[in-house]
Amino acid sequence: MIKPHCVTCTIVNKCWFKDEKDKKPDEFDYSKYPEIPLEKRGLYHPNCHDLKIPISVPMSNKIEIFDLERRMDYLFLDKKVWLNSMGYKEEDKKEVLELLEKLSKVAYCQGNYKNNPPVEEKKKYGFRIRLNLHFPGKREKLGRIYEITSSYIVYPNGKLKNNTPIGGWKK
Amino acid sequence: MKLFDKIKVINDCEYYNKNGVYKGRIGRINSAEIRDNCFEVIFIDERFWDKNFKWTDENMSTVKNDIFLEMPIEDLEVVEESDATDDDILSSIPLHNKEWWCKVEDGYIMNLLGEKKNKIPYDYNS
Repeated sequence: MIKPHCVTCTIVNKCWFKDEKDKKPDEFDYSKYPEIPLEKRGLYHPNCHDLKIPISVPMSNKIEIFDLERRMDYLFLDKKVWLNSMGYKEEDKKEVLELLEKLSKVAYCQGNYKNNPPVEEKKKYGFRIRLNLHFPGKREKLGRIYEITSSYIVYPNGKLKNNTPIGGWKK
Repeated sequence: MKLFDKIKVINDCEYYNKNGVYKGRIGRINSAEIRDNCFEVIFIDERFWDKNFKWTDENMSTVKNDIFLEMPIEDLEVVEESDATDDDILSSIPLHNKEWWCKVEDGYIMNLLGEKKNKIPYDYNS
């Protein structure tokens, strides 16, 4: 019988992460299990066959974002007043979409993110990141920069699935 | 019950409370697919529902981050249906596979092929 790969192994396969703490999946902490022999020590769990492979930093124009456009309607429905206070109106939806796409791609490639609270039971949806974006104001708020966050799930081969277009404030 | 529907939480549990979600809180379904009889639900800062609350440059940074929770179908009640179409759902489902469970209709968990997961309506484990 072939055993399926563990969730972490599956969701991070072929995904790019900045090689820093809180920006990549946690590796197994063997310091708590000194009895596990060296040859059994895999990346994410004992006997794990996965390898950490260096992937060059992706170019922002090669990143593909999906599920963002469809969520824009709900962003303007649920957080309209918030967007209004940054100087944006309903008619600016396309502009906000393009801005979020552009800023998100750059933030991901620069590693300007943290992993979204790593709640163990949510792993199966994928590895989540919360990007920090410097979002410019418009109209009467022109010249202001808002430190917002946008959440995504990292998919293989340079794809990002949007979870929430504007999910909070950089803390 | 499907993607983007506005829902109300109708049951309480420690896991929800620990994450700041209580019975009666309003959220929106955030995942197209149903996994282990659960949808992922997103909860935004409750001040967004308050029509009298005014966001300003001074208080904007106090906004609470969105909360994502995996919640069993039986803990949710639809308060407002979304306009998400089957195509929207399919485009958001992993690998665009029509066999994924993704909707709840008349007590049945359904997929985009019209198949039902449970045998007895509202008994999602049957």
